[in-house]
Amino acid sequence: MTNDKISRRDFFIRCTKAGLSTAAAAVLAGILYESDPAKISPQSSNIVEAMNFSVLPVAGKAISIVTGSNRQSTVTKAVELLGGMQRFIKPGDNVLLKPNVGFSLPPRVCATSHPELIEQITKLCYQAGAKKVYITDNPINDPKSCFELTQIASAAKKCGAEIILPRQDHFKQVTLKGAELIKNWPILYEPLKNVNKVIGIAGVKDHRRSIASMLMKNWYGLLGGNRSIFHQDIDKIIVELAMLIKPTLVILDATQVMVSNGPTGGSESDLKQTDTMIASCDQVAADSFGATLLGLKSNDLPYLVKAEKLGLGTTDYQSLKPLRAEVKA
Amino acid sequence: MPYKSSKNQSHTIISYAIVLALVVIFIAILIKQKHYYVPNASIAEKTFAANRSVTSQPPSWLSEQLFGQDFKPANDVENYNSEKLYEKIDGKADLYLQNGFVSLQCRRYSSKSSEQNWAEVYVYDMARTKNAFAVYSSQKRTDRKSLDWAQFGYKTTDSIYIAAGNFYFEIILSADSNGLLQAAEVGAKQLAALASKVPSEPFAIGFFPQDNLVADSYRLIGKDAFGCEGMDNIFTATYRIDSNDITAYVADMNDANSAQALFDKYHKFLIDNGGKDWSVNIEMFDFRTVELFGTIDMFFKAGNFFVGVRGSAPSKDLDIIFRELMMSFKQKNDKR
Repeated sequence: MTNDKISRRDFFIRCTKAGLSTAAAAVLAGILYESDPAKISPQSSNIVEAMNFSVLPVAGKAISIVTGSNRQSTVTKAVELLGGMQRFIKPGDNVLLKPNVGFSLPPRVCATSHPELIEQITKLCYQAGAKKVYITDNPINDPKSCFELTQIASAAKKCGAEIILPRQDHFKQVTLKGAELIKNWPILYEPLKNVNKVIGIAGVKDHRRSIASMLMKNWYGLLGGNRSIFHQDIDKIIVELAMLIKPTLVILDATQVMVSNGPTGGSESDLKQTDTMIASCDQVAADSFGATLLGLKSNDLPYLVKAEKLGLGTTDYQSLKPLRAEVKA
Repeated sequence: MPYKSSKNQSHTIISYAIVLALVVIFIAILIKQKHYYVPNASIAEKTFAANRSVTSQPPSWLSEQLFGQDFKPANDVENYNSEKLYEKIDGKADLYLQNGFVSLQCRRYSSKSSEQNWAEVYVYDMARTKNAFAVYSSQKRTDRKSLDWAQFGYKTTDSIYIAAGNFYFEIILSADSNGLLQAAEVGAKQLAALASKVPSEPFAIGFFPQDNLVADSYRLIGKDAFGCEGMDNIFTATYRIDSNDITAYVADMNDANSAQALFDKYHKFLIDNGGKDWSVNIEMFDFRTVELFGTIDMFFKAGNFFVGVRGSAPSKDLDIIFRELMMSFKQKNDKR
């Protein structure tokens, strides 16, 4: 029985060891513990300057404005005026279309991009030799129902485009160089990583927060996380998104403009028929023209002014000498 | 000694087992943390004010049968509180949040015969009748047609909008279809009826008399009504007598002192701008009549309410509406 007893010396040694082990474990846990979930992500933050998908400029072919009520005809003409889709898409290119699929609303209310337009742009890309056309957006509402109810899913199926529904592992923490808001923020990165051309597609809408929602605002759909906090600084985030993405081409659909109750609207009563389609390599210029259709000047939209100052484009779209045409129905 | 050695050995085995278990736990935590994806939730938490809880609404509001036998729910009821409202309506959320929004319930119903024909119903709990009216009033569509069964409601060819009690309802249709619109109207009536059963405070517009009232002419002036700085949240209605329009207005000031202050302020504003007091013989409330550049303003204070009429119509016509308005307030005051 005496063997069961430990000496005082052994007792202190064991206590010291146990104490040191506990302390070491606590220190290690303290070092490893991350209380901020924002810092726990599948990948570490990627610092980027800009994601540049643009093509070389061609003098006199920076913006086209086509009038007409048929979206498929007007977009074809608008792209043709800029040199045709073959100027932007080369054989074998992988193309990503970024329309506005933000809401689970029917296409008739024009809160989202029109499926006929998506279909036609996809066709033009394939005709120019695109290997694959993808469509993505990170909608406000449930992604699957948004793509289905806006009829963009059925349009994509019809013309052979592939829809990429956003998944958790599609996002990457991104820090944009020089940005104040896009810092270690999740961006819908994966679909962008696998393509070499990006086409931005948006409508012209009244927006209670940003005054107008057009092409530049449409990149908001690339943001993950609780992005509504950026509503407090909407102009800045729109500019930073334009800094982040330099698209190959942008298409602004102003066939019907949402003049009131935007950005969701809800009724055709909120729309005005303006029968205009704009194609451009300069999203600032295209949005500046779009603003006029809402009765605004580019100065009324702080994000346009700011974007111009940063050299992201020009608000003086007239200086680009827009190529104009009319397509009769 | 062998006993001691065996004891030490078992201690060592137990120690190794514990260390091994800790290593397994550590690896499990590491794997789990690696797959977490709650981007910048902490920033969001800091930015948003305290969460407002979603109010409980009768679950039957968006029942399976809301649109009748020919329709079925296409999804479960979606619930949004003030923090999540942006997830449903994006930038339009501001309008609701600024007007006392509490919760939103949505559900989509599709036709059993054609799933392409569907309607989405939005039930906004705005906490107070005047809040519901404020969001209703500020979104009115131009080509609307009044609903004859609702005090505040209209439809377009593809949507229905109603303010009833503390609630604001929207029904958005997928197609311009008469059948769909009729079914939606059936649902809208049910919703309005349910809303009327929920207790709500007396609403300023409820005091407007119905004679000579121009249908669907209710408005809310958010700020500086009639040019008077600080005269905010004024409800108005238009009356027509012999093709002359008269504007009646009511402000619910929450307490009698504030109503008195606005009464005095507006009177001073009119006089300071060149208005002249008129004398009219009506014995009911303390009131003022001021003429300014051909426009006559007649106004009084009743309890928490500041009330009046104005216009360039003949004074006898203004007088008719003014007396009716006074009578309406007197009757309702007497009932209390």
